[in-house]
Amino acid sequence: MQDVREKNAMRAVRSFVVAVLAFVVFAVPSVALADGRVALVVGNSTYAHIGRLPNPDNDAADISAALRRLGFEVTTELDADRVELADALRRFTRRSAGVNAADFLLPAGHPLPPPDQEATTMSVCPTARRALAFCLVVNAGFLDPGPLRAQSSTPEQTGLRIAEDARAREEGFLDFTARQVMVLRNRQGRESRRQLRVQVLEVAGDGNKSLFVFDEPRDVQGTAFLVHAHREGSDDQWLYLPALRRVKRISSANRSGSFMGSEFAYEDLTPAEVERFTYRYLRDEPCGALTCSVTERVPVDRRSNYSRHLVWRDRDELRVHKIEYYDRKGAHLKTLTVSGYNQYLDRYWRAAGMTMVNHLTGKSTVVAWSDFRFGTDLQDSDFSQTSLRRAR
Amino acid sequence: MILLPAALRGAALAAVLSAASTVAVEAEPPSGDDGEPGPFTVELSGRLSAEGRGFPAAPSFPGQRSLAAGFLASPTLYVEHVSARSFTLTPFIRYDHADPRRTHFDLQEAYLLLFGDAGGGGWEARLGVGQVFWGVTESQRLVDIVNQVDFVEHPNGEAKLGQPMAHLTWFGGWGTIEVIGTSFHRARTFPGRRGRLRLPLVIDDDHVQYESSAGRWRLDAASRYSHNLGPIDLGVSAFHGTSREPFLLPGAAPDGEPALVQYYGQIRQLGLDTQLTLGSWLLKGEAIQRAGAHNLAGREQAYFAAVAGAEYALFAVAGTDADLTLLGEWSYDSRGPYATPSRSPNTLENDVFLGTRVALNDVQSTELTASFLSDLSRATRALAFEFGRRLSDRWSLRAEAVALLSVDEADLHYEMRHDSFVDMSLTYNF
Repeated sequence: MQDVREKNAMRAVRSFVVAVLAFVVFAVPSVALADGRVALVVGNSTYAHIGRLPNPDNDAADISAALRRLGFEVTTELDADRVELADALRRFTRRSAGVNAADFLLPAGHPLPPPDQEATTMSVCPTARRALAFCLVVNAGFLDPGPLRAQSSTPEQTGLRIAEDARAREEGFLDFTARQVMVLRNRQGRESRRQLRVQVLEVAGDGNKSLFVFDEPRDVQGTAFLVHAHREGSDDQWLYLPALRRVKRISSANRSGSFMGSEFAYEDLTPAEVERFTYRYLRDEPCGALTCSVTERVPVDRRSNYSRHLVWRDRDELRVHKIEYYDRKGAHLKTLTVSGYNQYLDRYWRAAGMTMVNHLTGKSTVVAWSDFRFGTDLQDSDFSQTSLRRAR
Repeated sequence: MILLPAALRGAALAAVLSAASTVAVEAEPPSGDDGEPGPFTVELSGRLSAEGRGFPAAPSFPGQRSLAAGFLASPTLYVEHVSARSFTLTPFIRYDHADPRRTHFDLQEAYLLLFGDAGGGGWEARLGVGQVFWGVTESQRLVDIVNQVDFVEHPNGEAKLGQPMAHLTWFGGWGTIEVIGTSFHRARTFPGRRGRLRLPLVIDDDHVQYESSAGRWRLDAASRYSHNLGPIDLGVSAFHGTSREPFLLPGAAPDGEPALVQYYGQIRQLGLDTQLTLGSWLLKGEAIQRAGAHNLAGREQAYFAAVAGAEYALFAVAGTDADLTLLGEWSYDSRGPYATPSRSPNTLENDVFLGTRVALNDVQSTELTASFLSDLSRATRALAFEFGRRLSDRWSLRAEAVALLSVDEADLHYEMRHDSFVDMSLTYNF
């Protein structure tokens, strides 16, 4: 019995080694597309039922060395438990583009855990499989859309996939803070300023939590707005009114209303959760020096002010460059242009400038973002009603 | 005629004070030599207002003024330390040309705030003078018991006096618990002989009486548990200590004139507040059970009071950016005709409140509200309009009109029936 298990385990280790080697061979071309080459090597020597195996440690060390020679930045995790492994995977996903993670996890996730392995290491498997299924789509669809169209995917599927890929690229930022200056300009060119601070916390599997605190105009200084966004169903929103020291739960049904007199409606500012639209990929076309895919998306919410949006995302990084908003009558109401992208944590793109022009009224709002800070260690408790009271 | 120059003087003063405040803000806190921000952040903000209030009807009592002009200053100094600690100081000064008793100073806030994380949630401690808001309804505040009402500021009872307290909060996925200990009881402010919106007898605020032998120094306790369950917000609160609602006893002022004396008894109160948020609908309710309070006849009577209602919002009305909100609330007090007025002079024992608010959502955040209050068992009706608009990034304007359409003879504020007023204020925000 003991022998059989040991053989199983040895076989598993060997296939693990083969798998990682396969990764090196197959993944290098596509990894080379990314700026930095990163790899995560996992070696598990200690098993609950079969004792300690000497080889995984050695193999992991050898593979790590080989990868380093190939120019990879390697993280080696030996005998990591569930938490450590999850953490390592998260850091790895953050450092690499999603595409590379798939290439690694494709071979590694499959043969690694033998049936009698203890639960802690088993837990890698579902993580890997999910990532595999998810990231394979990224791989095929994003890097080489040509063959995919040949596989007769419908424009609806392609549109949805672009939105899902864009979301996948956003995952793992954890939190950030930033400042925002909004300049409202009427047709005569008269200007009015809004200044606010923003904090955002990523929520796994749901919409983000955001906190907005106003600095200007001064009569609303200290007013704070807390949003718990949800992928499905209504968002939860609270307002803090400093004059009354009152936290007020407010209706989130206000989708189409203007935010502080600007050309941005509330629905333009809340994150465009994938589930809130249906999609149709239209075409690829040049946008500046880049190539953009143009997708039409239709809001699911009937209270939306719009019949549809046209969204321009560049093919390289899936960043939004332009959105055209069409009202319920089908007229072209507003255009958002986005510029000045900067990358943070080697992965997440944030724009410094957004301009919304209302074609019916001639009014415009220019938003300048600054002071983006990631990894600020914001917690769930910083987005509670109690912390809303002290947000200022 | 008196109104305008006084308002202008107030505005001039506002400008001078604002210049001073700019200097203060530019006086940066001590910072490191390398240009890195120091451990302290200092902010000065606040408002300065010039206000004029006019009473169109002739006064009920000799000596009462029909025009009142004045100003208020309410700056906030905020000092934050990097270690999740901050100190907030908000003094408040009101000068009123007509009524010396409305001219008053209050320390609205002077507290140290500490906070941190605790087991997936957090904690917060506020030590010092502060303000607490509890409750959800718009037409009255039943569960909101921690702070005393600053009645001379506005007869609607919304303005509050700072209260010395220790306010501790813990929260997590299970909800939020607040525990508050207060001492140094604040007596309610009331207009003087020359002020409007008063009773025939002036309320003497030099001789406040307490049921407790510890007087104003008695330690009062309040606590609240609140939680969000999806669209439902629920709060359960308790209070044990000195009432914030005075019972008025006949007495004499120091000059020997007959006057009313504020008496504060010991009460126990349980409160409940809830809100259901469903799309454009907000359904709200508050209820209290109070023991130990005196009724209008001067006898101790336990009672139950409740307010319930709904708010409905229409967004982007008729293709504009404007939002229209409709409100309706009903108030009940189990003491019926023996109910006492709690915050505003009107007793809300069986009253209906209807209101509408229009927010234009324009660059100036123009807002208009209109509300109507009607006593269903008496002939008391009141109407109120309010208008607010930002003039620039710093200046804002507010106008208000309160019309006491009729006041029933049985109501305590029958003597205020001629005190309908219009009020305008120009505010500099910094």
